[in-house]
Amino acid sequence: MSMTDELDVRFEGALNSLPRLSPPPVSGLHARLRKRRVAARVVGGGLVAVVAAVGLSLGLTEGPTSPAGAVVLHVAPGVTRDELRADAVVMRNRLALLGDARARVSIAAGSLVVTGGPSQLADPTSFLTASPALLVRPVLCLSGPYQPSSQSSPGDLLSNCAGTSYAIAPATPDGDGYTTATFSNDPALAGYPSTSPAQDADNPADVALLPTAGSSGERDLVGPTALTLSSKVASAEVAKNRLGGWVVRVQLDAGAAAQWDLVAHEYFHLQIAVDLDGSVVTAPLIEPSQAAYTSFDSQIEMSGFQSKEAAAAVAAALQSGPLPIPLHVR
Amino acid sequence: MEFDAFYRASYERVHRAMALAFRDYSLAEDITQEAFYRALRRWPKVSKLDHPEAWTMVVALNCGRDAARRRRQKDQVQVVGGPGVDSSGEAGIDDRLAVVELLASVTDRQREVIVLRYICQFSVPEIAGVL
Repeated sequence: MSMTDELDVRFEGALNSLPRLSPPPVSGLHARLRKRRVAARVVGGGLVAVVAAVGLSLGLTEGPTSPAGAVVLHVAPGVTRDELRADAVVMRNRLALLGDARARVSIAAGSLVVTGGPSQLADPTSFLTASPALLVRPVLCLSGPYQPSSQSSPGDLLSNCAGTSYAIAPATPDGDGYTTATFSNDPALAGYPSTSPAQDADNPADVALLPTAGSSGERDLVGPTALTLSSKVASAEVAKNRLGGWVVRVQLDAGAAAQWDLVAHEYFHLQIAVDLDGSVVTAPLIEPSQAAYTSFDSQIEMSGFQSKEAAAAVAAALQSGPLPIPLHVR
Repeated sequence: MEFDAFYRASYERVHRAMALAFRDYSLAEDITQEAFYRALRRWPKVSKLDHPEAWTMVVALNCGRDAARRRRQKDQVQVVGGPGVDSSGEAGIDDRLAVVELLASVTDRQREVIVLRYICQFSVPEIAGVL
């Protein structure tokens, strides 16, 4: 037997010795393609929504070291010292979570003063003033990039899709599991600008047209907020996924997990969007591989960070929660 | 060819090849999924190739190589097995170990050639065309 023949036999034996494995449903790849940055998978009975490119959401990217001088954070007129103290508590927690042992937070002349950190971030003030809003909203229909019309203002944002053919419908069986049809972008939405992060945060009960993180202008029309998770993060840790990318694993607190379960049940076989600071960072199809709903032990996994520092900043901001009183830098 | 049919026909072979090449069943699953996803994204072009499976195989090998480098996988090698598989006394285990050893001992480029030759059953001219 020649060496080539022997290798043929060896490889055939090796391949045949491996266990047979059915491919995962192809519907998952189609769903990921539709949303590009989204992959939803069931892990150990829980839903892990894999989120791409959220590192940009808070403007937290790695860059040259910033001077570790004092940063003065101002509040609106009329804020009391007690309210400022509440912000200081969140801020100290946030800096501790980031591992910045040298950082100090104090109150002076009606402002919050941070000294000694965080020096490893390109834009430390974004981190210090971030008040991450994490919302869950149903996806109504899809839109392409904003195309402003030169003729007239589009008026108020549509509250629904222009036609039923554009409306995201429940998944249907496809042989491998459940999948949604491929929905076209609703052309009636192209003339509307995206909802700004401030509008999104101030009007959670309204319909919003949000950009999808990591895409080239794609947007989702999302319905009223079904669940607010901003202050319901029990823990957020930085880890590496199998492919070596930095991820943030968010675990909701017990109360939020139960609420998430109710929402997920309500939207079983439908798409829901996770909205972080005005961008859709994931829009998983709920349990596409299952014929019947099963309870979630939920966590959300966000990936696509450019550096460990960027992931750590998002994790610290999410875990420390929103600032009770907004802060800004003059 | 429709992508879905291609996926069903080729998935298992690509996954097995990656399991042998990288000695990690979970990693193999991840990079196989990633490779098929990239094939789907470029399907209008990939479907016109003579060997879409070979293209997918090479993409998966590249993903695996990058992932393995990041993970310093040589320091955390797992025996190829798979969930619930008892390798003791299993038919083909000698072949499997020999193949794993062979694939671990060659360069990335050589590994691509060997996988295309002995798993995809390509001829040398076909391999030259793909690489």
